[in-house]
Amino acid sequence: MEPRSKSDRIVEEWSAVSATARRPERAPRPGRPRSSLPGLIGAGLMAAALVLAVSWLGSRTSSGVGGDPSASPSEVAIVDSPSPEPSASPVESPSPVESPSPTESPTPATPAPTPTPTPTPPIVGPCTAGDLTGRITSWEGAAGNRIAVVTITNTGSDVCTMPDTTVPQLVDGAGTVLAQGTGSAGGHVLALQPGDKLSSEVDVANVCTTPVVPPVTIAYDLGSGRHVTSKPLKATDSTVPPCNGPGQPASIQMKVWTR
Amino acid sequence: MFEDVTTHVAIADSTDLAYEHAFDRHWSDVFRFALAWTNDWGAAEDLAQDAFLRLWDHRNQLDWERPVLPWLLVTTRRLATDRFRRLRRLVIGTPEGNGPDGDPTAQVRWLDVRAAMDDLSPLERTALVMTAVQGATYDEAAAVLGTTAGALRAAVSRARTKLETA
Repeated sequence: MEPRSKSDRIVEEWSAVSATARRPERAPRPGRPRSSLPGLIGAGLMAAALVLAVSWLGSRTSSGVGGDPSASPSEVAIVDSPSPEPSASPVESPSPVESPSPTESPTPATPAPTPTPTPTPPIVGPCTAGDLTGRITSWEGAAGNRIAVVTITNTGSDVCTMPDTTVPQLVDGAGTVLAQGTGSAGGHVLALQPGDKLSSEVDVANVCTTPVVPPVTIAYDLGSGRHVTSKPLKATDSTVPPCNGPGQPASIQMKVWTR
Repeated sequence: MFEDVTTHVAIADSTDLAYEHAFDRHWSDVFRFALAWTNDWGAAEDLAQDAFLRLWDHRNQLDWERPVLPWLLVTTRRLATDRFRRLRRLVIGTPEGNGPDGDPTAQVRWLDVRAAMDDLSPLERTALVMTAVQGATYDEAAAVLGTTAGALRAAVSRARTKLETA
């Protein structure tokens, strides 16, 4: 039997000790005494402490709190910018939790013991190809390149996520890959509410494949086997950038998706 | 980790009953999640209680046919990172002490394991506990913790390295 590692032993001990925790006899409800707070005295102390703490915060100019880097907003943020939407999607995001935003700046002149309501980021899953609709909104030519302005829209009914870095392909109407991007999907995770739209630019050069079957369009690899193909600008579009280096691979690259 | 709750809560014929079921079934999960995040027994009990109070407040807006545990864990995380909560605890401390009630042996064991886990960040501790103890997939844990599965794997790896070299 393979000896357990030190980390395994610690995790097992953590599991065993934490399992000894005793669940409160009754589910908490408003009005029921809290098991972990010392009643009215505690509440009074808490209120006083909060006022003191907010005053103390007001004297500071940095946004750090208590010098606790482990709870930084960048570490705990579930998405880049969760949209406040407490009621639009009750199935996926039924969670308007009242708590101050981690990124909220202290306000010295306004002691506020009651936190400002802020929606909780929803539990979201990755966008599927069926959630997303891509579209080429324009093509421009530039010094041997063609640059497409592209959009992608969450046309599904639920909030979902996608990476801001995707791998583009230039494909023609026969499904031939005319130019293949490099790298892999990743980067920051963007949350898309239903209807949210992202845009980017795709720069293509040196396409030497012939013949080209219209329409030419751009597809994206979103990772995890997900692909989205943009609607072409025109059904008859077969324009590709000039072949400036026969025998050399075509190039295609894109900027990160932005709102 | 999250699949098994759906049927359980779906059979509840009222939101109050569903809430009680969720408490019976998930209090331990929520407490352990909070314990992993805070490494503080009293704070974890406090957070678990508050998370369920939030669930009570929102019980009529929830779709009880969906797993409720992710909602609870995200809420717990949000509560744990609440600036006011941390300030309050900074000033008045932990009300419940630092370990399991009534069992000196368990209290000593907790202090030991807490010290061992103390060098880990909240994300590293929680990522490790969710995947190694609670059986969450990297994708499930990443969704709850607001990061990517890749970042979760890296956090678990860092956590294990720290524990091995401590």
